[in-house]
Amino acid sequence: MNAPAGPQWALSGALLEFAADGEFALVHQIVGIFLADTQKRIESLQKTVRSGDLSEARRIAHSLKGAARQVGTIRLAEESDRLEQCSGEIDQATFSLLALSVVLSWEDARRSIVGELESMPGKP
Amino acid sequence: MKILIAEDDPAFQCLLAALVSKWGHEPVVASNGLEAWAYLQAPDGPRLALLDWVMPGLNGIDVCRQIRSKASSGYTYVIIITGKTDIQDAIAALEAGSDDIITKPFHHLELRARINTAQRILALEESLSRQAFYDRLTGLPNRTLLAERFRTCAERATRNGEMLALLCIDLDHFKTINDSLGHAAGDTILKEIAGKLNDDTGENEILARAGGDEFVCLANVQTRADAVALATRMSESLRSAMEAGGHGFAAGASIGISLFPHHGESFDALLQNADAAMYEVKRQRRGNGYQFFNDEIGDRDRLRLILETRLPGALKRGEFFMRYQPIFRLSDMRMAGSEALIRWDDPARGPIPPTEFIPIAEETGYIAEIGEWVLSQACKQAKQWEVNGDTDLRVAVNISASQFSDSGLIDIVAGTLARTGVNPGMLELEMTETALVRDLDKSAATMRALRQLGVRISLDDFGTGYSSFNYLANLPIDTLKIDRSLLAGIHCHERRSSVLEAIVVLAHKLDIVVVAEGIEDEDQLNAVRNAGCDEAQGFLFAEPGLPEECHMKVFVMPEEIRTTADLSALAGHLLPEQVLV
Repeated sequence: MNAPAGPQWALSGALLEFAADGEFALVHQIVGIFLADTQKRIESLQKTVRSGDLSEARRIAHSLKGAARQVGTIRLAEESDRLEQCSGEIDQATFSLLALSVVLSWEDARRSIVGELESMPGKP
Repeated sequence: MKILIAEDDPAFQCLLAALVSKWGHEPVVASNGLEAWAYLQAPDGPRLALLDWVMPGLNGIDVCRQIRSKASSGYTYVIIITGKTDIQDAIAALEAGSDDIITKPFHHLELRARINTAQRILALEESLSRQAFYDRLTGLPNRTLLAERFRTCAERATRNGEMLALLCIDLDHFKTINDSLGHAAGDTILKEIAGKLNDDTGENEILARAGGDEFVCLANVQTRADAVALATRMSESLRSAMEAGGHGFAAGASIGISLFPHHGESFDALLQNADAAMYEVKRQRRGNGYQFFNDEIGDRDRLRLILETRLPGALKRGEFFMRYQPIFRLSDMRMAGSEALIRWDDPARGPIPPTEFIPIAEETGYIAEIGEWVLSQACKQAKQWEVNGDTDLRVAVNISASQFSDSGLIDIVAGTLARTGVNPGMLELEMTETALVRDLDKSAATMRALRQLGVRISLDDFGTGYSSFNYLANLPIDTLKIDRSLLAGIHCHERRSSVLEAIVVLAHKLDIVVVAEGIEDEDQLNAVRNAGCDEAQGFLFAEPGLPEECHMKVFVMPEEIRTTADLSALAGHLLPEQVLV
């Protein structure tokens, strides 16, 4: 199944429902955890790229993809998927480039999410 | 419902937990496979698991395989959550034993729908499991569940050097309740009794319904006296339940007790032995009593099992034969007929008394075949007497309750009469009230149909059970056989004698012939004659004998036994030289 096309950052159905029910604190909590956790994964990915461990990089990319899809950060999900799907014979330069695309799409997603959260009530 | 969420992504974990709570469930959160497995193994653990496929350590598929490989009393429904979208991955998840797969990203409403499906399936599974392990009528554990609990209790008892008692509790005369009030009322009473017994069951005791009117109680005991106290308590509970129900039935139970490990180490052995001990209480007609299993009971039970095995082939092997006990008219002491009685001579065990094999034949359903054979033999014999000129001799054949309720009885009797060519008036069918009371209208119809064939109808063992005059008024009866229990010591029992006289007067008003059974001495003979009985049978006249001995017509009291009731002197006294033909 391909990630649904859509905006860079869109609250998933569940989060939308929580927001509609006025449970903004919960939305802030979940998205906050997502931001912190994804940031950690991105840092791990960067370390892994430096060490050249493609297998570990693909595992991290898989995790990033799942969370990104569920929260609705489409480009991050797509770039993570590309990294996860790359063959084991990929050269180091392409590998680094793919990982960089993941990192950059994460930067974009994070800015967009933080921006939207700023305008949402219930900020902790 | 508790729902396990096994997910290593903290944001997703938090989202799922929030959703599950929002839908009214209780989330149990695990961050890896090992943690998830630990939650699932807990006694009151979740029965629905949302397992992320990729997790550190044990992954979701590994957890799923472990769930399926370990037998457990309840089913765990597994939904695998995965970002893997390949069809091969879906196949692998299903083959690992997952019930459902949901791929990320999914809409939360899709997840809710899948959880609802899981809930429906788990409810169905629980209901099936209830049916498999609990008795539907009483809600008590059934024998299967008790056997499972026994294993745990026996392990603990062995470890701690303790003792267990297994009590087999069978309600006395419950069949009479079912027969007279109907099965629906019987079920209601059983539920009341089960409820009361269960309320009075202690913490270390498990009560189960083993089937019919039989309950089984498993208990931790220190001594035999504890088991006796438990049996007494159960009897008292039962009595108070029946009294509270106000059904007007005397409550009692026969209780057999076997002890672990003394009387057996397996559940089946203990149950069989407790059951044998319970049968011993019934056999001795003590009622409302208890009995511990012992070697003697074990031997008798083994004999019973042997008889159960040998009985089905006995007819083909020609091991059954007939004896006939004469019935005499009291007015002229001429022979009126005889009662046909089956005997079994087992080559391996010798003569087996009918009191031992007839109940087994009734329980195993083999009575139908035996009963048909007896009817056929008796009719053939009656035909022989008819050919010999003894046309006024009738032969009485006992019809069991199960034969009587068999819709094919009328055809069987008609067929036997046609096949043997005997005059139907020579055949009398004897039934007990137990056979009739289940449905009096149906019984009356069957009896009328039998009478239309020309055969006579006799009500046997009158004076035991209810002995309702209602039967006499409403059932087409030709002969009433007064049970020996009413006639015991009748010559010195004025009230009993008055009851007999009243029965005879009533019967005569209804054109019913009265036969006194079990006459053993001259005093009894005089008493029943004075009361107006028409006919009599018993050891005073003759024991059941060969058919050729039944051509004799008149009984004369031998001089040497006129004033004695010495039964040993009576045996075989009905010899041709003592009889005026």
